[in-house]
Amino acid sequence: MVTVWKLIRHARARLWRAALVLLLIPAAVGCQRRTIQVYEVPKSPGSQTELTAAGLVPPAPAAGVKWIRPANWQEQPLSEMRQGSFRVPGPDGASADVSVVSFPGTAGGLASNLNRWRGQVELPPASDDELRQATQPVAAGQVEGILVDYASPPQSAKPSRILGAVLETPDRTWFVKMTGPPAFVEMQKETFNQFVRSFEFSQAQSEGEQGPGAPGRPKSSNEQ
Amino acid sequence: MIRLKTIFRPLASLKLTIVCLVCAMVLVFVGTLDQVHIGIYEAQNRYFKSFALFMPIPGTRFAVPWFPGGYVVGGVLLLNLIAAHVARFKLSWNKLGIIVLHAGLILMLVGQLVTSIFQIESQMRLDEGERKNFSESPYFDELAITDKSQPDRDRIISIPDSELRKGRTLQVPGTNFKVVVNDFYPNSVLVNPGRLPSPAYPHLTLGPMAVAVQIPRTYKQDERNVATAAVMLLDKDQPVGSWSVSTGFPQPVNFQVDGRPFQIVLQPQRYYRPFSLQLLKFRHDRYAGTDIAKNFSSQVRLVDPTRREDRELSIYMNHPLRYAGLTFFQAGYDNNDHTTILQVVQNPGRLVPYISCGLLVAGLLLQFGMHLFRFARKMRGAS
Repeated sequence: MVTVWKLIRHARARLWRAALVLLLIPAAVGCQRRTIQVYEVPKSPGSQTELTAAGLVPPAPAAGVKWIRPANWQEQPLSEMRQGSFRVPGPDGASADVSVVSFPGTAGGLASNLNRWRGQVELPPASDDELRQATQPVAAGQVEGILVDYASPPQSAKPSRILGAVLETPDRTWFVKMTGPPAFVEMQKETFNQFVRSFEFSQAQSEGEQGPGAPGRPKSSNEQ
Repeated sequence: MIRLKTIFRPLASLKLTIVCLVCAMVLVFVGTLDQVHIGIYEAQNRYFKSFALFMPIPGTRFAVPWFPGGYVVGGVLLLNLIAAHVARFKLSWNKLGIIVLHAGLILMLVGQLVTSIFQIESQMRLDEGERKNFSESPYFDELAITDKSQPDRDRIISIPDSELRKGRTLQVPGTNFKVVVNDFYPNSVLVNPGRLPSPAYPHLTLGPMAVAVQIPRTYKQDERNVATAAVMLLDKDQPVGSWSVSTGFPQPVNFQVDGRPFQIVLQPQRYYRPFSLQLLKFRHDRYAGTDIAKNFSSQVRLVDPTRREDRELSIYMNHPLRYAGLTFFQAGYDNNDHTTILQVVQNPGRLVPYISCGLLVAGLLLQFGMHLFRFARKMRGAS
């Protein structure tokens, strides 16, 4: 035991050096300076809804909303933005694409979004009044919304048509859009309208409930 | 040894200990008060994870240090404690308790230093059914340029927001890419172009329907800065493209370099893991007939191909998942109880506070135990 104490006595002389080194750590590491990094990762397993372990499809395509998918519409993989994505197969290889996306609040305003859709079919931007006149009301349960139908001008090199619906719940705006060849989209118009009317928002979504767990700001498990 | 003692005597001064303790008290007091204005994260950085507190000189871009920060106070206290041992204390069995006690204190200070330097906190937000192999920083952002050309892997260039400053040109190591930062707003608000006071008002155009306008940084705990950057990418000094990107709209923009698909996005800093978590079910139990929370729990599936793990487990309050050096705590929820938010903490010094507290307790027991033993013996001798 005495030898151990001797060893400690010798080591003590070096303690001050260790202390200096310890003090220098923050300076040397530079408080963990973040730098440019290049690395490889496996392709993301999908920031998207997947089949669960039991092979069951999760209950709702997006939290707080349900819809009835028309029989011939095919589910497509969801992207980061899309909460619903479908391909509508048609005759002669024609097909239309249907997307369901939602954003918090008014998502930049109705007019700007409608004009964005107009731009996608080569139509010029329209004024608020013109936009409003070209809409039709639609109701999905308790939630009111509008329907629009924009087709490319006749001289367009790549004619296309958009059927759109905008549904406003108290805290989110939902955009449902079908894009495809004008003639095929015309055939699908009634089916699309039925799809929009089938939207069913949960109580909290349609009434804007702000109780615990309601959509809006994330809640901390410690705040109760 | 005598020479060493002469050097260390002033450092071992008890007055210095008192000054350090008073400084620490002032730091804690001022930091706690300022936390109301700047949030806990910024308060920690300014007061405790810093070498000095700075006061800006009005009308200039300079700031002068006016008080020692946490690193200086803690560091000097550590030196003071070690110097006291070198200069003053004698090694003897009688002092064993004090030595163990001080070893615990030193370990605690060192442990806190390790934690403050190496701890990485991030969050994993999962919707029911969703699977992720990354967590995201609640504070930092990154400009991510992703090479999507490989079928099974993505090559990611991550440029931290701290590097994005107006006018800088950044060489990406190991590539021919350079990123020119034309402009950078640390915080911004996205508005419709029609809402700008005038077309000439400084802004960055994100798209035909959205522009970003700079606003002051926020330090509120429940708010996050929305960074926006205007960048140009050069490949072999030839421009590839220019984009305005914002964390307020973190949608990757696709482009091509030599026919290879790439994406660019400004997003919360991501920390990728070799395993993934999938949220199977989030539960928010309440006491019957009330809205008072009883329990929050996340049923998750952990899949790790590198360790051949594939199991289901539950994360709930006071029952975190510890895996691969990370701790996943149940931290929050969102989206009408369909989304869980897990706090992901990577802290190599996690066990140090337990060990140091153990040493402190052992030291106190030894010291007082020996005193008691000696006292009892003396009493027996007297009687």
